[in-house]
Amino acid sequence: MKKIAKYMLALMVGVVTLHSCDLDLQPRTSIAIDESKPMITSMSSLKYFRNGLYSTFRSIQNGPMCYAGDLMCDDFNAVEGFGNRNGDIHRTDNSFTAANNVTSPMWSWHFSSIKDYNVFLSQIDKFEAKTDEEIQTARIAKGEAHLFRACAYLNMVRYFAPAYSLENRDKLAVPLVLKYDQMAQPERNTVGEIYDQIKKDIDAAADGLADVPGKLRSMFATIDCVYQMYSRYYLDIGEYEKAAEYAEKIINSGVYELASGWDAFYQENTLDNGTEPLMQVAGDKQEYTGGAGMGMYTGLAYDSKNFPPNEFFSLGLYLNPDFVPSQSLIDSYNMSDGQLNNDDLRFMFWFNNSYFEYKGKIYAIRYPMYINSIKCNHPDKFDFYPFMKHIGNPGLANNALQPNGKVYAKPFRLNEVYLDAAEAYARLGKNDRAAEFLNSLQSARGAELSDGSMESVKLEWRREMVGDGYRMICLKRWHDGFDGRPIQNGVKDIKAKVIMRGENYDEKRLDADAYQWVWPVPDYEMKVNENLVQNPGYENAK
Amino acid sequence: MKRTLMILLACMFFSIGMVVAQTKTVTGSVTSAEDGLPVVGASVLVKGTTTGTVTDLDGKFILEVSTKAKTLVISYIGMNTQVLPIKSNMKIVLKPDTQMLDDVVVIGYGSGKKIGTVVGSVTTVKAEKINKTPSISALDALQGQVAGLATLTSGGVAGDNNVSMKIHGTGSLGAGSAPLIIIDGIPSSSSAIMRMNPNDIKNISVLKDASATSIYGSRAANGVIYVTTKTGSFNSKARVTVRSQYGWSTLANKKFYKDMMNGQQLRDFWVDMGLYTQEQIKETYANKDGEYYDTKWYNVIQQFDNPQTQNDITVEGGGQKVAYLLGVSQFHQRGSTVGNYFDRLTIRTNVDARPLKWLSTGVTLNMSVDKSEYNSSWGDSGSTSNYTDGGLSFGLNPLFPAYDENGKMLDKFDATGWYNPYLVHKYNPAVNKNYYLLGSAYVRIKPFDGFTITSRVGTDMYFYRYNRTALPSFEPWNGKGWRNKQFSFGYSNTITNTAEYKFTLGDVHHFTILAGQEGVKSMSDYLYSSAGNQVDDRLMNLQNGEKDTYKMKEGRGDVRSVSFFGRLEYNLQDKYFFDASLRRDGNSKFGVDNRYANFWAVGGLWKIKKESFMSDLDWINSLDFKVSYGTQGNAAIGNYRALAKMKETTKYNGETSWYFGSPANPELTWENQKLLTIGTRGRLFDRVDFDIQYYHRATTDMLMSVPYPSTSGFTSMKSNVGELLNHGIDLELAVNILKGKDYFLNFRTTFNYNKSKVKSLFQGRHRWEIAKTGVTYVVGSPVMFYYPLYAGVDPEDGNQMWYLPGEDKDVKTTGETTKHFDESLIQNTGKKRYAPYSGGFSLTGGWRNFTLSADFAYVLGKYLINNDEFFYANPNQFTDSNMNKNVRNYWKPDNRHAKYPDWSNGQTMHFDSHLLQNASFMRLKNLSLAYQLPKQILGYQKLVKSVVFSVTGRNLLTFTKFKGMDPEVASNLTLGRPGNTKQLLFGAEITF
Repeated sequence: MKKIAKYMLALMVGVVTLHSCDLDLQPRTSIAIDESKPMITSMSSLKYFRNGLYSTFRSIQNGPMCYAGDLMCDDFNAVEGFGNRNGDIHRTDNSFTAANNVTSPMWSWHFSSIKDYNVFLSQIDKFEAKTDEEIQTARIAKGEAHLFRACAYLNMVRYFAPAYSLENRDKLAVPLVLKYDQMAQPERNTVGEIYDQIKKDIDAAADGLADVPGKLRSMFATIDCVYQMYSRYYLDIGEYEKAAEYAEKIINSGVYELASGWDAFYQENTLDNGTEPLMQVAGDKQEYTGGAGMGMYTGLAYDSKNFPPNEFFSLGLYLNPDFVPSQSLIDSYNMSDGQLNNDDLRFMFWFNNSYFEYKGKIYAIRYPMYINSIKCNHPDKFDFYPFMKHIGNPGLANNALQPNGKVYAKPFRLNEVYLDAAEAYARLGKNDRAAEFLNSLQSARGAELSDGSMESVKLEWRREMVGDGYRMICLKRWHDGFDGRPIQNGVKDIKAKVIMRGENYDEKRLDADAYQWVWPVPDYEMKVNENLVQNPGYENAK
Repeated sequence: MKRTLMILLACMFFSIGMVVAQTKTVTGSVTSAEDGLPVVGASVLVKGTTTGTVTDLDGKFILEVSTKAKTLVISYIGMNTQVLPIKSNMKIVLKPDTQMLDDVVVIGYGSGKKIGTVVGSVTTVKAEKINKTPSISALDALQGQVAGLATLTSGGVAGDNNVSMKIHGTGSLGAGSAPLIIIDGIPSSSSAIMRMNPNDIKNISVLKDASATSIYGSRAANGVIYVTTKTGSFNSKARVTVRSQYGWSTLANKKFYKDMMNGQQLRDFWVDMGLYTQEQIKETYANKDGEYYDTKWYNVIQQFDNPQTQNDITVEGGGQKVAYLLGVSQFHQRGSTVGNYFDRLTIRTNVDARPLKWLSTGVTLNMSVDKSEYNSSWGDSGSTSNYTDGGLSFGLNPLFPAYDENGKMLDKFDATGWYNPYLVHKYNPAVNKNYYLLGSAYVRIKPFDGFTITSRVGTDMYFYRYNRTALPSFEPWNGKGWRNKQFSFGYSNTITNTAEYKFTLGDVHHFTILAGQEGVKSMSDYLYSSAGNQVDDRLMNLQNGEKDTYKMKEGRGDVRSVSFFGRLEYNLQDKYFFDASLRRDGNSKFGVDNRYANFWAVGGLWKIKKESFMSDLDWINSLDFKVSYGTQGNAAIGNYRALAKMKETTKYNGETSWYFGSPANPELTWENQKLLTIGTRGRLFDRVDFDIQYYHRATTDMLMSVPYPSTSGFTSMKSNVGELLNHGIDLELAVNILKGKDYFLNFRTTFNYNKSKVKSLFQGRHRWEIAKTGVTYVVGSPVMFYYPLYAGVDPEDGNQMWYLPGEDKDVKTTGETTKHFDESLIQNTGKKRYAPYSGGFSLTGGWRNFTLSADFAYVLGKYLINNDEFFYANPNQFTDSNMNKNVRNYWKPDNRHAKYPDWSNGQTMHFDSHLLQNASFMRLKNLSLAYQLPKQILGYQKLVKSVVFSVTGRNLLTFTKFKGMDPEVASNLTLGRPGNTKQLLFGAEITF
């Protein structure tokens, strides 16, 4: 009996051993899938993937995409103590290598987004839409994916390839990846091939979005967004009639209106409640996660002890920027007689050096201006203009009292459409028509009216689009270089070190043919993809 | 306990009685010196013959011997063998075997064994090396103690699980390299050891070769650390031990900070190099009286000479059926960074019961609760830090004041930004709290003699809470607070069932057969939540924040594995030992068709001394030869890597957003290892113990993160690729230099040389540089540092120079130079990422009631990127920061052979080989002196059995050429990590 008990116990132990042999565990924070089967299987999964497209698109609307091209050029100077943040691209000297950490992520972020668009496009073809709603949604979403892919490739070709021209059509651009393939080692395609694909994608977007009319600040893409893409595309490739034609379609639609007057401009720029955006990418302060990275122009911080409030100002915030406007940028807003134009809304808003309004409070910014920590703590000794365009939407600030430079992304916007039209007409020699569009913009902004020459067009691009990442793209398109980033008069003669000086800072010069206009293929890509060829000037990296 | 285990082995001893003409009868008894009890089954042999017997249940023997026989050899496993002249009615007292490399080990699922009979390579570190250690983790005490076990403690943050261990080199370049840790039979983790009182540990065994580790199969590739905790003994009186230690802990290398310039030196330097004029400095830094401050920031924002306490009480004992050990302990340590501390309480309950002759059962439980705060401005073992009020505080400008005119510490140290770190910490408390439960219970049945079935269940379970609060009353937060709360819960539950059968055939063939099964279920579950804009320090809950700042996130990971294993051990005449093991493992991490793998090993041990031809060589006390070969696996990668996944990304306008998040790799499977070990060990002149072994460790199907172009969409994928080889030698040597009646002096040393070689990589590549780390894999070479090679300063013009790489970057080329820095100047520096030499040596001495021991540990050939130097010797890059005094030695026309370039022309330093520095070091890891009160003093009373006073020091001496904070960091790079601390503790141990 006792022996039996022992064996029973042994048997029980044995039974326990046969537990939990199921090794098919599923993740809980993602959905395990079989890649060979369709991912979009219902109206709701279609909706989720479509939202995913927008989420991806939003993620490449801010950060370096909005500043890298500006820091490289002549609008801004690095201050002493900027900590070498974005220093490589600002200097574009020998340190601007294929391993630089500004342009390299831009390459990979864009390709990561292109992967999402490609997967979506291959999946949407497998989706068997049944109801009218499904068919229509699938068609629109497909158009959106094509539009976003066109946007991504337009950015890529503008960054990593020489500007479009007949001679440059056969120069190397970026690999054209239209299908997700983990094992692929694609070669670089030519500028012509990329632009041709952009055209195909815009055409496909036009087809998908044909029934989606333009709408002010639309959170989804509309046909007007497609038109603006056409306008950008044709301006790049030099088909100016078409560029103007599409721009005018938007202008004449009457849906959008240039912001004019102090209040409208404030709504437009700071509160993101303007009348210009064709599209305003949706989100809230949590969805706009990373921030626009625009804090470097202001470096706003709070210190009520050193800057106690007084009867005029709710002090407490002070500026500690990494980059400040150059004198040539400040001067670009001058009237033709060389006098400062105090009516130009852009100058008054964006280069405000006396105070700013935020949540109904007035903050002085002129005096508490610190550069290179303590070295400018005698601010009453100089007169200085900060760059305040991207102070940030209070609705996207985490701390209710302290703006953080985040604003809603507006990938398609009316002011640029006016500039597209003006440039197209100026290029066609129709300067009066160019002037028409320039003057509309100028009078809305309170600027002096100009003629319709290409020179005026260029000046207006600079004044209007400053700080949005366009400067490098424009200079490249015009085949212009720049010579120097003159230091603002207010600090030129200060004894303390304030602005970085030297041949790669205030004396920086980039000729129109400098190799740096074409950014390097990231070092990492060169290493993992044997089929890539580096751009001239960066060959060391291989 | 040890003895009861030995009974089993005693059965194996042979007894041969031969009747020869002209005999005499010898009788005697064998008792143990330890407890005076009879030794059952001891072998009694006439020297040089096979005539002999074993002792009976009363420890007695009767032996017929030839009249010519002169000498008897009495031996018993676990006891010292005695050789005695034959007398009538002999009374033999066997002393426990205290051979320095020996002990009994319970490893590899089976029952306990004397280590000398284990075929596998096992080194055991005993309690006395682990107890009293002034660090939170007992693992810290292993440094230098085991040949081939490289132990590094990366820094001195209190509460940081900062001990990293590797056995026989880095076995994998993509999966984990840490050994499998098993505590009392249950797979566990280094953080569980950190939650144990080191005094609860009986010994730690390090299993190094295939014969010892393959039975652990899929997780054994990096070796096994087996921790055995103390238990009570059956039939023993209750014993209460009270230990208390109190002392100081401080930064081991405060000189690092003292080597920065003072205010005057900095001002002079700035003027000298032309960074600022006197006038600029005066305008900026002078106070209204025209005077300058000279603040030694380390004295302001760090804490030195921190108190440390550790106390514990242990109660142990046992009756006929139950043996018990209960213990409680307390540990408190403060770190050198403001706000950093660690407090731990533990409770241990180990109970063994043998209620029936055929049934025994028991429980081991360790519960702990600990509370700690880190200063997040500093790095720790796992992270670097570049905050000026923390990790980079050596660069704080001494010209800023720390106190106002009244001597009150300022809230803020300069006009622009950085706040008194005391306040930063005070207003941003981040409290970690951990509850740990580590325990197991077993049932053991012996249905008949030699046959044992054991079933054991156990868990390694934690519950962790993190509360971080930014209080709104802190000025920079502008009246708006922030709260972050995290919980995580996880466990690794194990069930193990084994059946073991021991039997002997024909007196000389001893067999042990083991079969078993194991299942492990691991889970981790965490919750992250935060909310911001709370307005009052007293109402800082999540719900007091603003709704649109709410954030939450949860995560979950599950892993399961299931295994079957068996082992056969055979020993012939206790002379020839052989074993073979086989294990089949399945693991949920891998591709559905690649989840199972088999691991196996064979090994042999030849006890040469037992051969008759050796019997005359009296100077050899023992001599063993060992060889083993086998395979092991490594599965130390993340979960679900084999699956394709759809993921949710950031919502779009509040709506669900999906994307294709990762591709599938159904081929994903185990990393494989083949391990060959050959070794010999023995004892000579009854004075010298040695153990030498050679190992050859080949890793194949290495689990690496294979890089892909970003044009693919995913830049890396875990795959089985690449091969790696580690081979080298282990050496352990112990010498009893002096031994006398009331004194002894022992010396012991360990040494390992490991040579590694990458045999192949992925995608047919010859070389792969891990961007911005300096670390490079090159086929045919160890893992190397590739960096631009700094060629010093040109004496002619004071500019820095770098060597131009040759045609072949793999060859260190130091011919032509350039003065234009570029990352592409990267080439082989000739420096290895992983140090090839490690070891230690100890001296232990005793005289009367004093014992003294000193343990040194060293690592040679270690290199580390001293990223801190980029900050402390780079005056043109960090124009506001303090610098190391050496930067004053820079190029000038009259100082052409200077250390640093001409600062006056604006040169900055770069990430090149000047930062790659020799971080070889030797530390006096432990120095302890103990004094036991003489028995006479205690003799007048019966309450107190013994009193021992001790002084223990850790890291009291460090020898290194490294110029940074601490050479011991187990990483390629050090930046802003607090260095190791040193301790001096005074203690008392009273036993009742």
